[in-house]
Amino acid sequence: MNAIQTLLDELREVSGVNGAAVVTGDGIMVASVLKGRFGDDLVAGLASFLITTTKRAMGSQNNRGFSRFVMHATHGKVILVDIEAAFLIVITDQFVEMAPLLEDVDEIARRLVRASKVQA
Amino acid sequence: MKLIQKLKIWKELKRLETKARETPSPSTFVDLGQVYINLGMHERTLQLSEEGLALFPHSDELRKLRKFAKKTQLNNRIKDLRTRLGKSPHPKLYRELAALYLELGDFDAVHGTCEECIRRFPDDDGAYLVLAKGRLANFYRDLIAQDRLEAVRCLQEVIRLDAANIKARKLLGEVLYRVGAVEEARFHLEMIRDAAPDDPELEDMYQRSITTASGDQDLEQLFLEVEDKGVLPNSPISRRVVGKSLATNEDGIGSIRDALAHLAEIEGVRKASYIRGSKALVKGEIRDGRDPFLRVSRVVAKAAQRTSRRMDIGNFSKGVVEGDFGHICICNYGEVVASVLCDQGADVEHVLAELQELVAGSLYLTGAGAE
Repeated sequence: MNAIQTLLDELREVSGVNGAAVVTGDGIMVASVLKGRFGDDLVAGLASFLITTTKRAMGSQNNRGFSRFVMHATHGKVILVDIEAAFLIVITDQFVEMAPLLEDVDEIARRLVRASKVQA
Repeated sequence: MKLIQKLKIWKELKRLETKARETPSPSTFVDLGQVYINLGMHERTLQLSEEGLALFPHSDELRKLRKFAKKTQLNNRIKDLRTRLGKSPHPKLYRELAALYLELGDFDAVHGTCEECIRRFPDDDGAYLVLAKGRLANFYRDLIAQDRLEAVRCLQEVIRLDAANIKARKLLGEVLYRVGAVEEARFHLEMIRDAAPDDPELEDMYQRSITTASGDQDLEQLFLEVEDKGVLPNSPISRRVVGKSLATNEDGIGSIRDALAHLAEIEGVRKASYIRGSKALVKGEIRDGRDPFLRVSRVVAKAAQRTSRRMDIGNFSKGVVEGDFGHICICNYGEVVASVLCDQGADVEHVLAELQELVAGSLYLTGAGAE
């Protein structure tokens, strides 16, 4: 099992996290720990759509992109974190407390950046 | 042959379901809804139309689909109630039936059902109340004095049967207040104030009845004046923000503007916008409605809504996009998108809470939340 997968497994253990994945901006799934209704293809496709659309919209403001996008919905939350070569996607339930979770996610994201550099 | 036909329909259904999921558009939803209707899956049709309207709130076809599905669903329930009433008539069943007709907008049927109930159960106040509600709905829509007179007669009958009926007194108080019979309205409101101490609408209405100048107390004349002028002198109670000023349309926009200005004054906030459909209000370092920030807010909110719906995690309500530029906080509900661009050091939680307050308040002020 590679380092990225191990880190995602670690993230999956955090309370309230329903799934996590590493997806490139163009929608290629690098690694994932997704279960149930969150299929790999669906998450990769939607993450790519959201990343591309947001970046394109922000391009009109001369911004280079975004580092993190936290999305709250009625039945869950989604966090997208830029890890340079790809994005870390975390799907949680709606009850999760954001502040401590974001600390965990940021920590994993930092380690993912390092891991992806080592692997490259 | 029937089996083959069935298989064909199910195959088409699968194809359309996939299409609606992958390339959602009003027409894909309507096509799928048509198949559900043909299969007699009316509950599913209604659900589908609701899902479609969450993504495409302005689609007329989807609204028609929802209306049709709703009507079919109500008709099925009506049929069921009619059968039950045939077996064992009960005032509760009559009330339920009349309420369904009221929802369908079939006032003749409401009237017929209530009359039947009153004939069989003359001491039941429920039928009078439903009848009054129907008449009041007609009166508020058309402002015809005859409807009002009938509504008041029915409400008075309810009160005669049950002097402590809070709903009847509240409805009576409201209609009297709205036409300008403030003193009479106050009398009914006073009667139920103690019985419903936690009803903010009631309290608000009562306070207003104290402060509003009392007009001509001749009821007949007041109602005829309303019919002639086509305007009610006092605004509705239910759509007003309790404790705040009168929520006419202009005042509503004024309140939103004030809330947006307050938001723009929070430390670190650079731009603030409130978008509803094609209209926008802006505050802060923002030039006008053509500022690219508005486009960013709209596009990101729409993409996030589409993503969350497709991920099956419900509707997108709020989000924060972070980057070198600072934070973009977005709050979304229906066709309303409120957003803020703030510096990296800004208190994002506080800003988000204020944004939510702004959106919720604006929906209440404009009555959208009550739809």
